[in-house]
Amino acid sequence: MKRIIIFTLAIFTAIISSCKVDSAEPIRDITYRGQCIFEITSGKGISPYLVGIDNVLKAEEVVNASAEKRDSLEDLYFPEYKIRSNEDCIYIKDYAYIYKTNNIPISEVGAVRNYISQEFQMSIICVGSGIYDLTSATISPLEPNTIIQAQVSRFFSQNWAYPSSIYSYQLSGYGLYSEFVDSWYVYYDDYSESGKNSHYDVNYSFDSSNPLKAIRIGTNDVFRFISGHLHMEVSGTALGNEIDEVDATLSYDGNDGNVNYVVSTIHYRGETRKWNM
Amino acid sequence: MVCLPDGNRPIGFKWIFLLLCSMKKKMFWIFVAALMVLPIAGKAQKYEFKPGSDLSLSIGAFPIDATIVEYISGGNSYEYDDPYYYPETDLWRLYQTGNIRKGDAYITGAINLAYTYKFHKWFELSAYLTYSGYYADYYQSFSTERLFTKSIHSIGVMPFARFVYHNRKYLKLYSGIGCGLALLVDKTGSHTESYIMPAISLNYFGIRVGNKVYGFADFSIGTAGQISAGIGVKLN
Repeated sequence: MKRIIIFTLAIFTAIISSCKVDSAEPIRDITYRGQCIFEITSGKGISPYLVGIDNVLKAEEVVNASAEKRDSLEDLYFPEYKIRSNEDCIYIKDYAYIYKTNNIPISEVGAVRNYISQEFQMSIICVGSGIYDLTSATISPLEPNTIIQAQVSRFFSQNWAYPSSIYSYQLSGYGLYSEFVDSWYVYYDDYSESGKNSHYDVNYSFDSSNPLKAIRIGTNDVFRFISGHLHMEVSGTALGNEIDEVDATLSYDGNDGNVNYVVSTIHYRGETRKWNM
Repeated sequence: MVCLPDGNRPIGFKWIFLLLCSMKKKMFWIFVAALMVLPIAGKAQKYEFKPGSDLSLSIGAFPIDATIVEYISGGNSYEYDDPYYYPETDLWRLYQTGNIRKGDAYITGAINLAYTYKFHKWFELSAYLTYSGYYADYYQSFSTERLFTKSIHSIGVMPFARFVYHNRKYLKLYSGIGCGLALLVDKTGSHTESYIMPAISLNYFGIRVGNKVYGFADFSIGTAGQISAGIGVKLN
């Protein structure tokens, strides 16, 4: 009897002996989602167009440069690509085409260019000194889509660490970033239905009183947004008829060419919080 | 049972190695003390071996099975092939799948129930029934809403041969090896997967103290736990 009692106690001890090995991750601040929406919209929806206008301005500079300067400029702006050109077109080899709709130099009012890359196409019209209208068209209905109707203002902002980053850009206007996903691999059955045919749109508008400003770091295909305000309205599958509004206001320390750090103030679902970028 | 301090996630096998080292240090001195009394105990006992059986229960820390893999991976073993991670890269992940966070995670260790028959003074054969479990809840990232539970249950059956190289009435030292099969049930939300896995345990040193009721400690590599301790009773 004594042995049975001891053994029963041992079994009971074993059953209740499970051990907590990891503590719960903390609840995230809801504004984190707002910050993510800003990063997705700016990174995938706006940045490619700035890369496009930046490429156009730099490619024309290379093409119009004197023979002795041309190679060094090409190495500086397009170290991984070759520039080829004729009267109608500038070709950034394996990357993009720039069609000259007219022969007015890109820096003069009335110049029109069509920029076509693998991801999108857009027209660029010079409407003032360093001011360009960008108008894009969607290409694929299934891939992430972007449309922009914006005006960019170009500023010189030499960055000694990145000699090719000679311009910063300021934006006004509006645009759309859109995602469509027909299906994805579903691990958790709980979400299997919501995992099909999801579609999300972010309609965004730049604030003319506090325009969004961005600078290209080196020759990367990504712009860094450093100041200004962007208003975003998200609609999509998980939101039903609701519209999710996000306001991002950026400020930075330093000058345009040498940005030390950027802080974004995100206002989302009644909460406001600052995030380092 | 070996508990980890809250919030301290292991850094792979290095962490386990350090833990084992620290455990072994304590056990080493127990072992030394046991060895010192061994000659006295050995001489004092007049022991005549009788074949018979006993039943034992032990708990093993860090069994090498799916539960420990899940634990070492921090409960994120699925992240590389799964849309639940990297929510900041796409809106659909952000809204539909990426907004999860892991809650408290628990492991049971290996709970081993063994029936042993002593055939000879130097040889015993055991049948092991081993359970090992992992459990964690997952929540909505921005609230306390529970989304699903992940649990792993491993139930193994293993014959185990034990070789007793020091056999006295109240003290036994032994080593052994066992090999069998384990049923692994991996459940995430309403999604369940089951596998049959090998169950192997190599017991490189074991010590048993007592007679009709005894305590024991095993140092092993395998599914029964790397360091296990338990209690046993003599049936006949």
